[in-house]
Amino acid sequence: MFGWNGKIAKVYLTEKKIEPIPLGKEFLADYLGGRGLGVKLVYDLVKPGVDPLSSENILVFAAGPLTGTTCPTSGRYATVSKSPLTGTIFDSNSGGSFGPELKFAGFDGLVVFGKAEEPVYIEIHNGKISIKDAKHLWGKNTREVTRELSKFGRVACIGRAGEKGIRFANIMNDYTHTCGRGGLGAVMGSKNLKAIVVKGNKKIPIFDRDRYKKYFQDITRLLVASPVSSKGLNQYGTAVLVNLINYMRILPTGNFRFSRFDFAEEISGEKINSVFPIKKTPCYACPIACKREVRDTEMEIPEYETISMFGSSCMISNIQTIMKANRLCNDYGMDTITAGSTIACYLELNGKQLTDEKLLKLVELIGERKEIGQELSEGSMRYARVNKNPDISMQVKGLELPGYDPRGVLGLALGYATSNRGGCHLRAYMIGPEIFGKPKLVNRLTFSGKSGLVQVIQNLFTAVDSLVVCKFALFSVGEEEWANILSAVTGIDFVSERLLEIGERVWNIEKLFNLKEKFSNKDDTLPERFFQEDGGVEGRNIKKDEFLASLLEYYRFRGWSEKGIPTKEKLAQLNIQM
Amino acid sequence: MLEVAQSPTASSKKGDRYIFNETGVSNESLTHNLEFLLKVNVKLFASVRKFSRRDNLEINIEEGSIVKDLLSKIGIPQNEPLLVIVNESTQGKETPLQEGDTLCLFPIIAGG
Repeated sequence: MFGWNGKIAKVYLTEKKIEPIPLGKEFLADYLGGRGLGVKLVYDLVKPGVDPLSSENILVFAAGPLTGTTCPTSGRYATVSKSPLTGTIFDSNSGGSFGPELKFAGFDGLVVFGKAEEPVYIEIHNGKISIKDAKHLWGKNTREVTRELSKFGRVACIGRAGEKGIRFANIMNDYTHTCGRGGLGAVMGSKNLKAIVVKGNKKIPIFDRDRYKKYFQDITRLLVASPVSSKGLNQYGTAVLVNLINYMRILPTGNFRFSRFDFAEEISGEKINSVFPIKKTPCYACPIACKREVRDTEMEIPEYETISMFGSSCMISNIQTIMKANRLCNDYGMDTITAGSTIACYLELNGKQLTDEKLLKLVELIGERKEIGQELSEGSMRYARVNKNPDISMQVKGLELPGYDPRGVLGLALGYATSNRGGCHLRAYMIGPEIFGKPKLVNRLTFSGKSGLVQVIQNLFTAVDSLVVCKFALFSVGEEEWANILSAVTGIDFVSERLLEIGERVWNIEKLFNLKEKFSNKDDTLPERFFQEDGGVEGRNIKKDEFLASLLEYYRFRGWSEKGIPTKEKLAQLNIQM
Repeated sequence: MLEVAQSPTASSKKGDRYIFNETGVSNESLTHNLEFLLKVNVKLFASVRKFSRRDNLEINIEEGSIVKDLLSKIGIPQNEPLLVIVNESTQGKETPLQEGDTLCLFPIIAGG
């Protein structure tokens, strides 16, 4: 087989049993890898109603057919499971070098079942898998665990947050890269699985080297020629968005009560570049190199989303404090978006303002699950419900919204509402067309024309998450180039339409999973605040009738019923068995 | 208050302008070549800041000008890839300018 290893491993922690499973070419061609492969496995293997933190849930680590080749931005892998934060099917992907190393070690993926009796880690070394004692690592945070295990290979691990079942605990790999959202680190912790270490020296076989070389050059040329990848992201990282998003009046401020932050410049990418000497820490095979840290300190530069949550949404204007909160989250192994948004929710509920010290204290209390941190570690939806004020949790399906106020980007509003994993910008990044004008500019303040666009972008992003390549490359490289290089690597003829169909297939399976978990069209909505309040821009509250009309149109575009249920015809067309 | 273009005969120094007060006091030679200027606010961000010593500019420019004319006036090369935001709306470089417009100039950026 070319591209893929054609093999995943099932690891049964309860029984301490390991079972390699061959995967057929036809199956892989329908699901690719990463998100697609993981979603298919979770859909098939997790029964409806299972407690996500019980031994009956599974956790999939999956690379894709391009992972481990030299294809630009292909250094990614996905984790997929049922989320303890949302109760939906959930995938989260990450860069670094862990994904490629998993391929070099001889596997396309790993499916973890059951629960170990005592803390363990899994080591994969050139096709050989062992379950090892991790008692000495339990209680340690991610940086220390990674340092201890990296002599054996590339490390993906959880910190204390994952051990303690914090519902938004993440999985950190290669020190600073993260499968950030949805609490899959808590699933890992519930299995007593502290880490996975991978090492290998297998080369990924490529079907047609000459064609591969040509398409590799095409993609590299597009990335280098594009100012998005070669200048914007490369020079400033994602933090460069702060001033733009603030000026456009969509920067979440004070838990989305406002849409502009007076101190945005203080927490901006420009400020960071002017204060700190920067070292780039790129992912495997990535010429964009957006990931950065402060030179000589290993202090991570936070991403835009983190800055918007700990900064403007918590009304903190000191970038160094935000950096420290980011570091604490990474070390405990927690999602910065949910952590920041849950703290902002707590502040609104209690009418409080934060000092820099208090913010850091709160993050630490969450990480330790102590005092008020106990309640906050459940995420904002549960915290606000328990405190009888559910509307101040800024979430969709339990997942906290990221750093864009949907009232000023209505395509993204529809994207948030219809996302299968809850409030997320990465299912369909409508900021591209609505703010950057990429691939083409659309009016951000209308629902008109958005429903068709949103579902196409959702399908495309799902395919990209299954290859797995980085969405940032999509600003410069189109689906045709990805289809070309995928064909050259695998020897299977892919075209753009086929990639989009794979995306659509996976999206529909995710929807079916959620329907079995009793999610309905009523969950495809937004926090009431966005319908009732204008966020400080007169008349900008979302008109509910327009939103609902757009949602119905979206269902029609998807070939679903008006209740948002995939029709038999649609499922047959996508070759999905119920 | 009205703001008018500098007379071609007057001393020419970048940024200078004549201001008529509401009583309409003016001088003959100026009113002869009366040309209204638009006042536009410009904010520069990220790498675009290298083109000016200040990040916030108030610029007077001839009526009928488009974004490209403004870029020339600031000294930004025409082929510089830019994200141009006019009054909170993403626009192209051919967009006509209006009195009181606020322009934000970013490098081409993206992210998430």
